Amino acid sequence: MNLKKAAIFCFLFPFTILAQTTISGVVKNNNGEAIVGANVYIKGTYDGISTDAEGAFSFSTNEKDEKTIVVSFVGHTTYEELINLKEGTLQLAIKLESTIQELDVVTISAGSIEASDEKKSVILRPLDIVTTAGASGDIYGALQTLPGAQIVGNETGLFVRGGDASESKTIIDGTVVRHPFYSKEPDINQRGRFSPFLFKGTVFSTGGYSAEFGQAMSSALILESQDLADATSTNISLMSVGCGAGHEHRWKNTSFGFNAFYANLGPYFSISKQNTEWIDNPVSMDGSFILRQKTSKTGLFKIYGNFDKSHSALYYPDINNLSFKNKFELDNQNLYVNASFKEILIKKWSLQSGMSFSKNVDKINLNENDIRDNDEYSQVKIKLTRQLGKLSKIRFGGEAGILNDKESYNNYERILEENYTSGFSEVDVYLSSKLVVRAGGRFENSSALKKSNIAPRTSLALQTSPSSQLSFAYGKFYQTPEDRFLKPNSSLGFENATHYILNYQTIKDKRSFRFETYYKKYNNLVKYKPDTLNSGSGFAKGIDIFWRDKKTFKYVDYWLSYSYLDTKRDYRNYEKPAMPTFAMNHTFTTVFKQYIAKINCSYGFTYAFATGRSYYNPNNPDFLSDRAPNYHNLSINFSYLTMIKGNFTVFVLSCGNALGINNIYGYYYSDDGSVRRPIIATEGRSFFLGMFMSIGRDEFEK
Amino acid sequence: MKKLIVLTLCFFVGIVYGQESKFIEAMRDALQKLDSSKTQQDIQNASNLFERIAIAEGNNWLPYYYAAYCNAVMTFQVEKKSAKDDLCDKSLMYIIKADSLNANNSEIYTMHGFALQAKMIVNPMARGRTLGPESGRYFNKAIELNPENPRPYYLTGQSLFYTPKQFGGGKEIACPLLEKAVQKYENFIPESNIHPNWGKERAAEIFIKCSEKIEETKEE
Repeated sequence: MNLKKAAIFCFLFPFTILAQTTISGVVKNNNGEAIVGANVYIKGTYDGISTDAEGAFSFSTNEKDEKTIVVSFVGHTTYEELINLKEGTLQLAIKLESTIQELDVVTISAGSIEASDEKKSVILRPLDIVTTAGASGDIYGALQTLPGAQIVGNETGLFVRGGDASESKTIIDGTVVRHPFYSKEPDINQRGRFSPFLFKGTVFSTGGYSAEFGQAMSSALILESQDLADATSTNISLMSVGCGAGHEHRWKNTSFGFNAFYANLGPYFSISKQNTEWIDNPVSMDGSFILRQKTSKTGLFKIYGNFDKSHSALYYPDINNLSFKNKFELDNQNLYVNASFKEILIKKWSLQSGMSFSKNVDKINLNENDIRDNDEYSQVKIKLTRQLGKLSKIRFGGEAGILNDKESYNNYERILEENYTSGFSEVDVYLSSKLVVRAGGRFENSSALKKSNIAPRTSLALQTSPSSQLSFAYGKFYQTPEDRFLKPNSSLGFENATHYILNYQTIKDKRSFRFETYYKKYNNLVKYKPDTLNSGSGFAKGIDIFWRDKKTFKYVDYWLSYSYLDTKRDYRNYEKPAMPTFAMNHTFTTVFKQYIAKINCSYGFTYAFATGRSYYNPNNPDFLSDRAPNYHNLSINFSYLTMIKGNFTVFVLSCGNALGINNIYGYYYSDDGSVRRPIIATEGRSFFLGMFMSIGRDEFEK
Repeated sequence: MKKLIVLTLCFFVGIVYGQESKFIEAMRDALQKLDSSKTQQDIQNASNLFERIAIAEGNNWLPYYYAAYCNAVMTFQVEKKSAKDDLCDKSLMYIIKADSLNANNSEIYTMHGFALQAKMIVNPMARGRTLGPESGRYFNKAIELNPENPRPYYLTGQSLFYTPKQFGGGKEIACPLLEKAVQKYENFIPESNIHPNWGKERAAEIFIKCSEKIEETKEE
């Protein structure tokens, strides 16, 4: 009888005899804020509960003795503690550490605009560059819609914040590209050699850049090429300027691709009126290959090679003899090879190394004078990075470059050899996830100058709110004078610029705002009148404002960019400090893009306005004080996406300078100052039509 | 003596049955919390319960499966991109664990595809090209393992319904899949009342849009 009762009792109420412990407490993060919905429980049991709106919890358990209590919450490191469960209550105060996501961490933004796919502080993505009206798929054309880059329609190169084209350098996978633009004909704005699709990351630095780079007093365009291709595919492009085809193949750890392109502007010129008088329409042939090989789980070797050959000839008027036409003929051959390797070495150490070789031959016939420029440039670079803690890191490395440049004028030769070596070291110290300080230095040596320099670089960034940050940069930037000044036995030294930059930016949801103000002081600029000395100097100061909005209007993406630039310099053959011809006081650009779902198209326009540039007028004793008229340009583009027999195809139609405005960049004067001719663009209204098709895209199965 | 043995046996059976029913009871409780959830907080609470059950049991795939489901669903309810990514990564971690406990399971492959879809939606422009096809491969494998599972058809159909035609989507290709999903939901009988059996209402909702003549509206 008793046994039966006992059995029933045990069956129906097991374990009730055991004691109960009540565990309560609060869970907070390292800022002292309550964590709502954290999971608090005894490891290996069901006993547990979620924290409430105040981060508080309370639950009972029949477990006893030493047990582990676990507290977990997404985005935080799981907390475990051994506790002794005795009868009664147990109070706990728990702090969870957040696992810092790269997306939340503050990054140094002063002087830098990054366009890459994944990072948070991104203003632009590579696809944005390609779809910008007026850019014609040229990276440099797209950069001109961003604050800092000046619109110089008759010159080739990147002109940033009052600096000339030689003050900007293009870097691919760590090594400098000597000829990023096609060779230029007189008064022609040539495009860049590289397709934006080659790159997964673009950082456009308008100053204050890392100690890792140098020899550019104004800006560095830092490009990172794509890693392994995702798929095997063939591509075909047909355009009003030429045609091309390519194939890319993906194996497990390797991808290989090649591309060929032929351009001939003749057919296009026959329909579209050109201001330039062409004798031989520009023709070019281009071939490139690209190989990616995974060397290990974390290692990647890349090699890119490009060869192109081009020819063109034109007449340009002679301002001193109005009945005479100068004949300019240009043949160019360019070879560029870039190899890079990155790998994670032993724990916390990683290596990035690169090598590049370029050979460029320009053969110019100017009124039957034979002018040649044959240069070869080889470069090798190594960079080591070591993690110090969760976010902080130190990097250091060095590079060596050899330049061999042979110029000849009617067989009169001049050879320049330059051995350039540099070393740098830089540390990023994260005092918290909201504050980072960067400090570093760069050492450079030029054999042609027989001189060295050491430059300090420092910057810091502070996250002022979860969606905004303030950033400051200071640095000294040395640059070897242009080749033409490097005669043997010259006593020239490095030119230099000192940058001070302050930046505030906020990115919230799909809107971003960026405000930057800067002061650049130039010293030791080369002057050659009366003598060749580092006696020049200058300054540039201004503000850049950028606003981008992808949210307010459905399917609309637009950005507004405004720059104010006040700059004067005394260099080269200047008579006194003056605003250079490649700077504009005010520049305003707006880019607009919209996607129309109903007809599966997108269209866009770019409007640019800039106040007049300065030009030299021999009749005016006040050097470079004349101003050309203001500049306006409206470009529109339209693209249509479709599938042709299951193959992804894009049609693009664009019109540059749609309003046909005859912008005047300046004037050429005759030597006696009596006659002048306006400097205008090579064409008024331009148009472009293209079809791009991706065939047989076969995703690689992992 | 006999009585003692019988009682002892009953006692142990009681314990074992108690354990098993404890698991099922806890699962049913958690599923009930999930079904009646209205806020993100509610789903988080259900997720935590599944997490506790999963770790306590150790070798049962079901609680891990549902924890993965809860985290994937929550990505659509939080604002910050980094928070969305954290939830997607947690979801993927759980579903991979579920797969290690029960390989070649059609529901697990389906959930894996769903978690990848959620991760892709965080940044479609950068991840669409890789995660879109990858999630498709998981759905295809799920169909291969169990052709009567309605969920892969529903999830694939839903995704294609909202993808523009030129990227391989649109009504023409999505609606037949949604129709199949609806049919299979009608005939689907889950293994038990704690085995996966979700998505029927939502699939029917989208399928109704297929016969609407009005211009299709695109969800952002």
